[in-house]
Amino acid sequence: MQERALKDIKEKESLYSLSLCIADVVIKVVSPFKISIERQDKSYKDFIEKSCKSEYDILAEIPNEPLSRWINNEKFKLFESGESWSLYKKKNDYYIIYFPPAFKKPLLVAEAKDEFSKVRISCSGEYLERRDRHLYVFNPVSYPLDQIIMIHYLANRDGILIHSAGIKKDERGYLFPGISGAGKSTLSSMICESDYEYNVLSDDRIIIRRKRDFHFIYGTPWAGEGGLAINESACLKGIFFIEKGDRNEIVRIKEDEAFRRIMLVVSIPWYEKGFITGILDFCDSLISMIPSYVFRFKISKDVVEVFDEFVNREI
Amino acid sequence: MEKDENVLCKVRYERPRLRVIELKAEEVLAIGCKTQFSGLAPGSNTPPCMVRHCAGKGS
Repeated sequence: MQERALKDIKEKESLYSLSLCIADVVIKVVSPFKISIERQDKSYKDFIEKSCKSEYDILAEIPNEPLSRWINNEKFKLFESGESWSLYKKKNDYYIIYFPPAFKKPLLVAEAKDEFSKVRISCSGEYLERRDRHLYVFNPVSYPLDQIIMIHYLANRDGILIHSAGIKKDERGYLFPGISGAGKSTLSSMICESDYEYNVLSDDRIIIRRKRDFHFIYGTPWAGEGGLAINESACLKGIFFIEKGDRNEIVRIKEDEAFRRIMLVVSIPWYEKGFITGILDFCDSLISMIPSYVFRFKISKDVVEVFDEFVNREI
Repeated sequence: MEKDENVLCKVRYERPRLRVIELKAEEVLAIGCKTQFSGLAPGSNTPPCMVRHCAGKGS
């Protein structure tokens, strides 16, 4: 079915393509123009597939014609970020308008169908460049568009995006959720610099997916201040809500407290009922199956030792 | 005859409590960005987060 859809598109015009793989979700970008990734953040390096797969989960098609019209009727608007993007809904289709205030018209308009598994991305001229007799398009499937697509795609497919650092050791994964300033990048750096054999999946954004009775955490290309992002995963064993403190301590918390805390850091598109229920059910299952703790830490040499001893003893 | 203690043990009703959780879009909905090189603004060498003055939020 997917191959046929691709073939139909390719027959219409000769296409270039690339694939991004984030949390085992393959986004295939197809374009009539050569696709350039030179303006893409370096943290994407691990997530761009060199061998372009024929199988995909999300098809992102760039049409031949440049962006000229876009939906801006207030009655269809679901959400306005207040800074750079907004979301509209007309019938069953969604429209993401990427329109930073510094520009006079939108940079990107993405029309999403079939619960965000098919996206058609119209690019403004700002995304196109002629070079060596070829027209290039700078890959529009990058922040923030890719993150917006993924949040909505995963909502009813047993997955969430969380504002959290995440680490792994021997296929065992641990989360460090926290709002801005909680210390995700600081703690991730300390773990990286320690002698303990943990790998940091991300210092800022993690995707969690449920497969059968297990929850898996995945690194994402949306790194934080430390720029830490690897395309690996691990089975989740513990959630440690981090806080800066005057000593290192880890305290178990009850499910209701964990649920309150996780609500602050999970990406929930609360403007659309159809996306909320799946995510709330997911969080409920996550909190009931995975032990949660508060991890108060101070910047000190022994913070990783305290954590390592705790997980070896308790989890 | 001994009474079955389990039968007599009733669960005390606890009135549900409503807790208000203030959600912040800039924390979770692809708004803020501290990543300096998160895609340069098209047609320039300036990161978009610098263009739209959002650096400092969201991570």
